[in-house]
Amino acid sequence: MLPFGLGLTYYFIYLPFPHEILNVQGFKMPLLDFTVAGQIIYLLFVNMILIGSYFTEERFQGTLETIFLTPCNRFALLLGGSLAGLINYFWFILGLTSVVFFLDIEPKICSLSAVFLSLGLAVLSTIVMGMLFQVFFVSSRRGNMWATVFQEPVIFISGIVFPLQYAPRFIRMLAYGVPLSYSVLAFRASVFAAATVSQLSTIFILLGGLTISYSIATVYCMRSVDIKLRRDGTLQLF
Amino acid sequence: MQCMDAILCENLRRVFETAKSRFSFKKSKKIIALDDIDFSVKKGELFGLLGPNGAGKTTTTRILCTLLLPTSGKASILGYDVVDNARDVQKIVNMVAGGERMLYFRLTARENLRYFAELYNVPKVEVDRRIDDLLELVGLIERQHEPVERFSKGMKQRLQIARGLINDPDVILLDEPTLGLDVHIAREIRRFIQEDLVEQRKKTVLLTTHYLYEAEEICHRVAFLHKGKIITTNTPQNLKKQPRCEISIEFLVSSISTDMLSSLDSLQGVKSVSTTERDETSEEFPAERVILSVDEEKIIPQIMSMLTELRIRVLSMKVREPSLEDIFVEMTSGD
Amino acid sequence: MYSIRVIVATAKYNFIGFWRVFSLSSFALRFFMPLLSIGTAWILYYRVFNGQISSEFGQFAYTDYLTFVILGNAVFVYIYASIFTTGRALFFSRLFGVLDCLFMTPMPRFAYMLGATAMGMLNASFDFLVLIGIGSAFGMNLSSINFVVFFLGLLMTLIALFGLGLVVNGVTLTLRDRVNTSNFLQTVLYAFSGVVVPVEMMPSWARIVSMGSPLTYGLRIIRGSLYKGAGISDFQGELKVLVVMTIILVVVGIYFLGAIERNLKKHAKLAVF
Repeated sequence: MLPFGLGLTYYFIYLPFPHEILNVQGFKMPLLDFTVAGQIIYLLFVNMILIGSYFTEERFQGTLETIFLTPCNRFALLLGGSLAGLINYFWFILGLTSVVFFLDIEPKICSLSAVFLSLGLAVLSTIVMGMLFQVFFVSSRRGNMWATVFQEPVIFISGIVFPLQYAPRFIRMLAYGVPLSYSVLAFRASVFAAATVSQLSTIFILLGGLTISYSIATVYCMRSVDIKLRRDGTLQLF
Repeated sequence: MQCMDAILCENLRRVFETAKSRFSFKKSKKIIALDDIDFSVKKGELFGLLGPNGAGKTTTTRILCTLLLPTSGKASILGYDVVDNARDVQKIVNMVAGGERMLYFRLTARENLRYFAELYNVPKVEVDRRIDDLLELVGLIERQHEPVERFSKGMKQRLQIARGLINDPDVILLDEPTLGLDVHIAREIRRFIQEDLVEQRKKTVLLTTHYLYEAEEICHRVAFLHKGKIITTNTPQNLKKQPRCEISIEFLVSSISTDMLSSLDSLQGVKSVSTTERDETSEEFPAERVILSVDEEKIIPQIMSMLTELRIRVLSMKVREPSLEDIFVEMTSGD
Repeated sequence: MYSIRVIVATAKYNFIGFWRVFSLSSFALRFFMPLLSIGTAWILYYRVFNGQISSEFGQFAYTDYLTFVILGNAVFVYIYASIFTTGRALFFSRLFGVLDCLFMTPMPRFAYMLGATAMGMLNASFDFLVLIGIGSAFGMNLSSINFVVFFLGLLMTLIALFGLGLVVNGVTLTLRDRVNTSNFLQTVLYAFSGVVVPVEMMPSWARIVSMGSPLTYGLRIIRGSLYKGAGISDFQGELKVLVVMTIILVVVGIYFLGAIERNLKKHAKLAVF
C-alpha cells in the first residue's frame, strides 16, 4: 500500500493545476501517463531499497556476525537479498497493470526493444543502487531508517514527481548522478511517447555507465565496510 | 486480608498451544507447562522451586507476578488473586529475572531506578534515599551515572536486583537470578538473598533455579518441579533423609582383602561396599579406595572400630552426603 | 497524582533516551517528507505551471496554494508523532525487553501512553515550528490568523491523533509489526487528508476515504483560521465530527490497551517480538 499511497499523493498534487500535456524533457505525454510511469519506476526503486535491506535485517535478527563469520562473497549476499526484492516487485507490477486497465491510459509504444531495454536497465541500476545503500547502512544500527530517509530526496531529484527540466539547476546537477532519473525518463518516453532506441541511446549509454560505476563503488565500499565493522566491533549491536 | 501464606497456588494449570503456520494442515500442539500444581510459601520464607529447563519454573513465576494468565486454578499473593486483583498484587510483588532484559539500556543505572520508582509510586521523599541504598547494596554506586548499555552482564543482573527491590515488595520472585554469572558474584547474590532480604528485611522470596546446590545452600524449603508437576516439597535436610538417599563414605586404605570387605558389608546399616583400583600415585605407598554406602552417619564409629579390629590402616576418609541433585535425579529417574 | 507522576516520568525518560542516542535518521525522516513535498509544490506552482491554478482551488482552500501546502505539511508532522511514536510505544518496549517490567507495575497504562505521546508531540511541535519558519521563507502567508480558532483546531486534532495512536499501538503490538502498519497509515493519511490538495477537489471515492481521517477536519479548521473573519461558529460541523472521532478513537484505544495486555498475558507473548 505504501507505494500506491505515495503514487496517489503525487497524482493528487497535480489536481489543483490545469491538466495539460506535459513536456517531459522533450517528450510530450498526458499527466496521468506521466504519473503512472513514474509510479512504476518508483515502485521498483522502493522495493529494491526496502525489501533488499538484507544486512539491516540480519543485524536486527542478531545474525549479522554469523554472516560475517562465513567466507562467502558479500557482493553475492547483497545481490541475493536484492533479487528477493525484485521478485516482490513483479507482484506489484501485476497489481498496477490491472489498475491501469481501469483508467483511461493508452500506451504509445513504437519500439518494444526500447521498452525492454529501459525496464531492464532500470531494474539493473536500481539493484545496484539498493546494494550501495545497503553497504553504506550496514555499519549503521538504523539502516532501514536511513534507507527510508534517502528514498525521498532520491525520488525528488529523479524527476519522478515533476519533469526535471523545471527543477532548479542544483537539483538537475544532482540528478545527473542518479540512475533513477535516466531510467524513469527512458521508461516514460518509450511507453508513453513512442520513443525509439536511437532517440534514447544517449540515455541508455549514460545509464549503463552509471550502473557500472555504482557496481564498482559497491564492491570497493563493501570491502572497506567489512574491515570497519570488525575494527569498530559493532557487528553484534542492533 | 489475613492469611498465613504469602504465596498460595491451588490446582494451577497452564497450557501452551504451539503456533500453527497459516499454510500448515497440522494441528497445533498443546504443551502442559504446569499440571495442576499446589504449593504454598509462608511469610518470611525462602522457598526454592527447582527443576531442569522446561520444568515450568519460569511459567510459575510469571503467573505469580501477573505477567501470564493461568489456564485454570488459582494463585494468590498475600491473599490477592493474581488474576482478579492483579493491580493489588503488582503493588506488593516484584520479579528479578536472569538475562539482560528488563532495563532501559539508554538510561543510566540511577535513571532506570528512578523511573521505576515513579512507576511504582514510591513516595517522593523516599525515592533518592532508596535508590542510594539499593545502588550501595548491589555495588553500583560508583557507576550509577553510566548508561546501562555499557554495563557487563553481572552489573546488569545486579541492577536488576535493585530494580526488583525498588518498590520494597513484600514478596520477591527471583527467576534464576545467578544464571550466567561468575562464581564470586553468584555467591554474593546468594548471600544477599539469604542474609539481607530474608533474615534482615523479612521478605518472602521464591527462588527458581536449576542449580540445585544453590537452593540447597540457602532455601528453607524446596519443591521439585518436573514436567509441570510438583514431585515433592520439603526442607533440603528432610529430603536428604529419604530412604532412597544414601551417604557415601570413602576410605583410602593401605590394603584390604576380600574377607575384610565382606566383614564390612555385613555390618548393619551398610548397604554396599565397593573398591576401586589400587592408587599407584599415592605419596606413601599405593593405596586402595573403599566406598561404603550407608543410611546414616552414626554408623561411622562402628565402621572405624571394625577397621581398627581388622588392622586396616586408614590413610584418609571422606563423607559425602547426597546432594539435592542426587535426590532429584533419583526421584525423576524412570520418567 | 499517580497518573501525573507516570505521565511526567515516562515523558521525561523517553525524552532523555531519545536525545541521548540522537537519531539523525529519525530526525531526517520526520523532515524530509514534508520538506520535499513543499519543494515539489513550489516547483510545480512557480516553474511547471507558472503560477496558474484552478479557480476551484480558491473556493475550497481558504489560502493561497503555497500556504495551503506548507501548513498541511507542517500539521502533518503530528501524524508522525501519533503513528510512529504513540503507535509503536509498546511495540518498542517489547523489542527492547522492558514490556514485562512495565506490565508488572501497577501504573495506569493510559497514563504511560500519554507520557510516551508527550515526547513525540513535543518533537513534532519543534518540527512544526521549523517547518512554519521554512515555509515563511517560501512565501507562506500567515498575516490574518485567528489564534483562538487555530489553537482550538490544533488541540482537537492532537487529541484525535492521540486516540488514533492508541489504536495503532494495539495493532502493531498484536501483529508484531515494526513499520508496515505505521507506514501504511501515514501514507493513506498523507494522501487523503487534504495535505496537498483540498479534499473537495479529489475524486469522489477519495473524498469518502478522507472522511475517516481526523486530520481532514483539523486541517480545515487550522487553514480556516487564516481566513479573515472566520470564527469558531464557521467550523461547528468540523468540530462536532472531530469531537465524535476523538471520543471513539480514545475509547477504542483504551479498550485495545486493556484487551491487548490481557491477550498477551493469555498467550504468553509479552516477550515475543
